Amino acid sequence: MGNSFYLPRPKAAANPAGGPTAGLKRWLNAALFFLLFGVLFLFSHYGSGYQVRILNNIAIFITLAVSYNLINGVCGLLHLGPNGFIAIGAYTSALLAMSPAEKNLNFILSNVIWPLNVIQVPFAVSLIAAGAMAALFAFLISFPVLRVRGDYLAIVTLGFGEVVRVVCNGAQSVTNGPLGIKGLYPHTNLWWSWGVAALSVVVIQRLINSNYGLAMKAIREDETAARAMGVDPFRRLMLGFLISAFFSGIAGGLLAHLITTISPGLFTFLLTFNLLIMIVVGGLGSTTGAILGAALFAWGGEALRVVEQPMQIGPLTIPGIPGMRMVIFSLVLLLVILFARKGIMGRRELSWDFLFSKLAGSRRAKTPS
Amino acid sequence: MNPLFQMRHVTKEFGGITAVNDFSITLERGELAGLIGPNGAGKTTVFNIITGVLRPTVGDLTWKAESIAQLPSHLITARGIARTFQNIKLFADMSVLENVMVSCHHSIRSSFWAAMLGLTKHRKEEERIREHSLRYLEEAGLSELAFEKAQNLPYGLQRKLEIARALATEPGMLLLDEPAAGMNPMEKMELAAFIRRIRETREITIFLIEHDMKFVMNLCERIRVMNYGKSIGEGTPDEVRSNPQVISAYLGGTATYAQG
Repeated sequence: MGNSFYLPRPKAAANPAGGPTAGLKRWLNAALFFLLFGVLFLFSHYGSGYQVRILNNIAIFITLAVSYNLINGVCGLLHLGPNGFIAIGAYTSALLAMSPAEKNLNFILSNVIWPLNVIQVPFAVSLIAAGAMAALFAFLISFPVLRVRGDYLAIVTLGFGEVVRVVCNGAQSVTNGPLGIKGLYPHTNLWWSWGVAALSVVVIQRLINSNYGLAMKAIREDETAARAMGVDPFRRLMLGFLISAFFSGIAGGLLAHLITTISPGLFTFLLTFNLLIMIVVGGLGSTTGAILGAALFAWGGEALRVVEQPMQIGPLTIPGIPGMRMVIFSLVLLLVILFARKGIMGRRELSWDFLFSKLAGSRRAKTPS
Repeated sequence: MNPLFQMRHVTKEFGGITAVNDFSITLERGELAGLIGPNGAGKTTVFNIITGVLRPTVGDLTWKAESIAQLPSHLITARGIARTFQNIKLFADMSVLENVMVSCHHSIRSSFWAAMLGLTKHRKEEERIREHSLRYLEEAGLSELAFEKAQNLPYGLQRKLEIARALATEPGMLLLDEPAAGMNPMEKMELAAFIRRIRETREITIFLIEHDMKFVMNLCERIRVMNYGKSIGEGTPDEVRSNPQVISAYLGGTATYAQG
C-alpha cells in the first residue's frame, strides 16, 4: 500500500494549520457583522422604500434557502414541501400578531374560531410560535416521510405542501380560506429580516460543521455505511428536518408581515421551485452557495425589470415585453447548469480558510520560490 | 463464562432461496477467525445478519450474553461490533479525517443544542473527537492524507481507511469483508501485518471473509468453511486444507456430499 506513485499530494490548503488562526477569524467575523450592521443602518435611514423592500426580500430568501439547503444539500433528501412549512409559519404568525378587531374585519364569511378571536401577542412571540408550529408539523410528518427515500420522499413531501395549501383554502374559520388575510401590520423591517437571516446562518452553519452535521453528510453519502458506523439515520434526519422547518416557519412569518397580505395562492409549489433554483444555482450542500443563490435570485428578479420596459437601441424601438425577465432567468439557469454543473460553489464554502488559501495561492504563483 | 459472540442455528431465507441455512458459530475474545467459501455461499449474508443489516428468519445471536438479533444496525455498532464492506462504502465526498470522525458519533457527549449554540463544552467535545480520529489515522498511516477527499485515495488506502473508520468505533469485534480483494501481493502482506498488529494491540476479536487462500491460511487461527448457506467444515488451516468436503466444494465433484 505504500506505493507513493499513486498517492495524491497532501493538501496543505485544506490544513487549518496553514490558514488564518481562530482568533483572526473571530475578528474577521465580527468585522463582517459590523459591516452588515453599517449597511443596514445606512439603508434604513437613507434608502428608498424600494431598496429596503429588496433587501428585506433578500434576507427572507437567505433564511429560506439556507434552511432548505440543510435538508436537500446536507442531508441529501429531495424534500419538495418547504412551501407547506412557510405557509404554516405565515398563517400562525399573522393570526397571532393581528388584533382581534382586525381579524373580525377580515373574516366575513365565517367567524374566526376561539382562541384566535381573542388572542393577540407581540410580533416576536408570533415569530417564535410560527417556527414552533412549523417544527411541530415537521415532527408529525417526519414519521411517514423518513420511512422512504429518493423519489418517494420527494412525492410524499410534495403532497404535504399541496395538502397544507388546500387546507388553508378550505379551513374558512381558521385561515379565512381563499380570501386570505389582509391588512397585516408591516412589522418586518431590515433589522428583523436580517437579524433572523444572520441567526439562521450562524445556527445552521454551526450544526453543519459539528459532528451532527458530519453524521448528516455521512447519511447522504452512504446510509448503510453510516448505520454501520453507529449513526441513527432517523434521528439525525429528523433533527435536520425540524431545524429546517423551524427557520422556514419564522421566514414565513416575516414574509407575511412584509407583504401584509397572505392567501393560499402565495404558497404554491412555485415557491418551493424558486427555492430549489436558488440552492441548485448556489451549489447543493453549500451554505454560502445558498446565500449567494438567494441574493442573486431576489436581487436579479428586480434588476431585470429593465428588460421588460420599452427600449430604444439606436434606430430600433423595442416595446416592453412582459415575461422577458423569466426568459433571461431561464437562460442564466441553463448557463449555470451547463458550465458549473454543481452550482456556483459546489459543496465548497466561501470561508476565511478558503479565501486565505486562494490569496496564498495567487501570491505563491507571483513569487516563485 | 459465556463466549463473547455466539450465533445459534441461524437461517435466512429470501423468498424461496435459503441464503444461510442453520449456521452456528462461537467466537471468543481475541480470536482471529476466517470465513471462506465459494461465491454465493452466504458469507456476506452472515456478516449482514451479525451487524443487523438483515434480520435472521430463524435463530438467535448473542453478544456478551445478550441477544442482538432484533437490534438495529447502529445500536449493534454502539455495543461493539464494527465492520468493513466488500464493495468499499466510504463517505466519498468527505475528507479522510471526517470519515473517521463520523465513527465517534455514537459516543458524542454533547447535545445538538450545544452544537448549535457553539458552547465551549461542545467545542471541547469536537476537539476530543478530532484527536481521537487523528490517532486512528496515524495508526493506519493515513495522517498525511487527513484532509484529502476519501474518493481521491488509491484503492488499497481506501480499504485501509475503512478499517481505520471501523476501529474508531472502538469495537470488541471487527468484521472484515474481503479486506484483501483487488490488492497486489505486496499490499496483501502489509495488510496482514496491519491486521495482526490491530489484534495484538487491542486484543479484539477479528472475523474476516477472504477469497485469497494463502492470505487466510497464513493469518487466521481458525477457519470456517461455507457452501450453499451451510457450514461444511471448521478447524485450523491445516485441518481445513485436508477436509474432503472443503476440497470438493472448491474443486467441484459430488462424491463427498453423502457423508455430510
